[in-house]
Amino acid sequence: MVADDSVLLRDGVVRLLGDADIDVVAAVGDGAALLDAVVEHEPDLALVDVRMPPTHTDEGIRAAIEIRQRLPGVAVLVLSQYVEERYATELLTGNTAGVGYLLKDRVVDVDEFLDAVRRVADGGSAIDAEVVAQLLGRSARSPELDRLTPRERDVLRLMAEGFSNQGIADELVVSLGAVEKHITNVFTKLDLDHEHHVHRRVLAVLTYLGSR
Amino acid sequence: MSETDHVPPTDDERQVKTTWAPPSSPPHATADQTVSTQTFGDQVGELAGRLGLGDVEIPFDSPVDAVRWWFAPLVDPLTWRAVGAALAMSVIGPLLFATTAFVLTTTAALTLVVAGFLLVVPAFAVVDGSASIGRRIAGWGSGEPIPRRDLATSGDALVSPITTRLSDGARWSQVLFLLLDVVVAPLFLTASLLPLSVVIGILDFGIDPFSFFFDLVDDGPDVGFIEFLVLLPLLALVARLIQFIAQLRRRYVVALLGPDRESELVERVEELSVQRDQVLEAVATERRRIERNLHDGVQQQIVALGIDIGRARKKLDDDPDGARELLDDARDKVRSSIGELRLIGRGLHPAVLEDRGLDAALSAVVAGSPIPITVEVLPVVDSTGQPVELPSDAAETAYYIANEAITNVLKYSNARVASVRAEPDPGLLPAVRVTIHDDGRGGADETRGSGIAGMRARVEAVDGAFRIDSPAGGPTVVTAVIPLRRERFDAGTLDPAPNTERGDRR
Repeated sequence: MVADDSVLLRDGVVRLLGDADIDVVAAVGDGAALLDAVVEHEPDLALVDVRMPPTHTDEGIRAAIEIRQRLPGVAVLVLSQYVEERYATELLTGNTAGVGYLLKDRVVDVDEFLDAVRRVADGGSAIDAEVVAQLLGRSARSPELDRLTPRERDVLRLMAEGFSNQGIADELVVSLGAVEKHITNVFTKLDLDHEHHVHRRVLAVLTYLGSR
Repeated sequence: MSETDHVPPTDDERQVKTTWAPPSSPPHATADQTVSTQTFGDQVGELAGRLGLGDVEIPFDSPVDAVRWWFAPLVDPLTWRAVGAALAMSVIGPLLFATTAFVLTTTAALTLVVAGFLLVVPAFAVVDGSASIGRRIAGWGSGEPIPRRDLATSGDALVSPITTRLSDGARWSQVLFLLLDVVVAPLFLTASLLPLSVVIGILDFGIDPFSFFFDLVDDGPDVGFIEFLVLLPLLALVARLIQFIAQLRRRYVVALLGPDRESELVERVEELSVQRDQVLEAVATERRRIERNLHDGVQQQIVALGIDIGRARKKLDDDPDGARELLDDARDKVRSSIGELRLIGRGLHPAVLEDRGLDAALSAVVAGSPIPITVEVLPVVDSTGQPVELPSDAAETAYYIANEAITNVLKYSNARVASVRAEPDPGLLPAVRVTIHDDGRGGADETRGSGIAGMRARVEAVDGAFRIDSPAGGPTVVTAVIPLRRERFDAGTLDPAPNTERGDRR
């Protein structure tokens, strides 16, 4: 289901999903209606705008967190106007399976967007590249990160965005084996426990980057 | 008509000027204009040039104008007020002096017995009252009230009012004035009336230069008339002197009793600080509004547009008709976004205002209105009737006020008809008055964020006046008076300096 207060956008997204044969069971315009609809329909995924009536601040995030707590079976993908790292981290604390945080702009890259939607609905994660870029940019001075080769840094970035190993291999046009090797190196060099589950990996990497 | 033999003097050549500058000078013929007839002033100037008297500037259009100017002070009520004030102070002055002297010496004497200290406060109240009388009379006699000087205030304790008063320079200035004025006021009176008596004396006793004329016409029946003709211009000169002396008296009174530079400066600084805060707040509010408009409006439209294009792209191979439909939708959204951006731009700074003026800009604002809104812009003219171009910040402020007010009318008022009017303000200073009227339901509330506070801040920041009358049930009238020149404090004199940016004639 889709929750966004802009009718224009909501319509567009619904149609887009329809084109891809994704069944949209509800489309609402504010936080309260969102919660009601989720309870009623229990969709695989709730696509949620951060800013909604009545306060137009962070209704979406609040609702998303509540959904994650009450109905862990429902994945949530939050769409935001601008990058707000705080929201990303809030979403990811606790259960990180089936959580996503993307910029609204991503919707325009139809294929990537649909890919992210499916990934999150399947229990994975999707974190916007912008968010990751900001985090990476901020921690650029960290000496541990300097130990990574450029390739390893790419892998780190894509892990943070929530790609699976195969996804990373496709993005970088390398073999799956190469990706796995890079990942192992990254975790070793950064002194992190090697997480294998994608969603836990995302959290680990983001937390690491966020703490620099 | 073309210029043949006469070339009007250029600015460099005008060096000699007449001492008595007339109150309003008609513009000189400029080198750019071709003149078909020379003005009176030009003719005299030319004549003086030929006589070898050097460059003389006579800023009159015609002899009648010159005569009118010369005799103006005779009929000016200010002249009579000046005389009245001088007389009044000469009579009242001694009374005030006596009172002041009595009160102060009594108080001083009684301080030996402590009781005097209790009398200090009332004594200075008497001084203040007496000085105020003098100040008001002097103000009345010189054309404009003289504002009072701020006196030092004190707490409510017993001792501090006394010490404050004893140490306040402003109050002792008042005392000085009252003591001096018993001598000074009569001096001014004499100075005012002396020329008059000289003139009348000349007339009565026929001192030599004039007896020549009187002898000439001695046998004619119009002796009295000739005398009268000679007398009048001299009386006009006397009237001028009387006014001049009244102004000297005013300066003297202001020096002792009027506001001092420091307090004027302080007041102006406070006023400016408040205005600045208001402007900053109005600017911040406006910024937020623009952000919201851009964000919620245009940005959403463009993202939706992007979705259309993305979907169209996917359909290109399998469903070209569907793709085409989506692209049509996309184009509609583009048009809509452009329109919205244009509206936002117009709210920021309309290009049409700069290119074609206030009239065109306001017409553009009301063009898309669902209700009929009339626009009437009367040009501001200078003393000769030539239309004056509004300075850009005045024009922008006027436009902004009208735009805001009309937006409010359309959003809140449920009016059936409205009007916008911009005209010269009938007040003393050159200003433009903008009035927006609607017959809607009124009840506009300044505190409820409908941009009214922002309008007020904008207008007051340019030293204008803003007013809104909006009783519940309507109608609503928004009035803004926007001065064309801002008051500026000249660092040297602290009097409001003439705004020289538009090349005022000296």
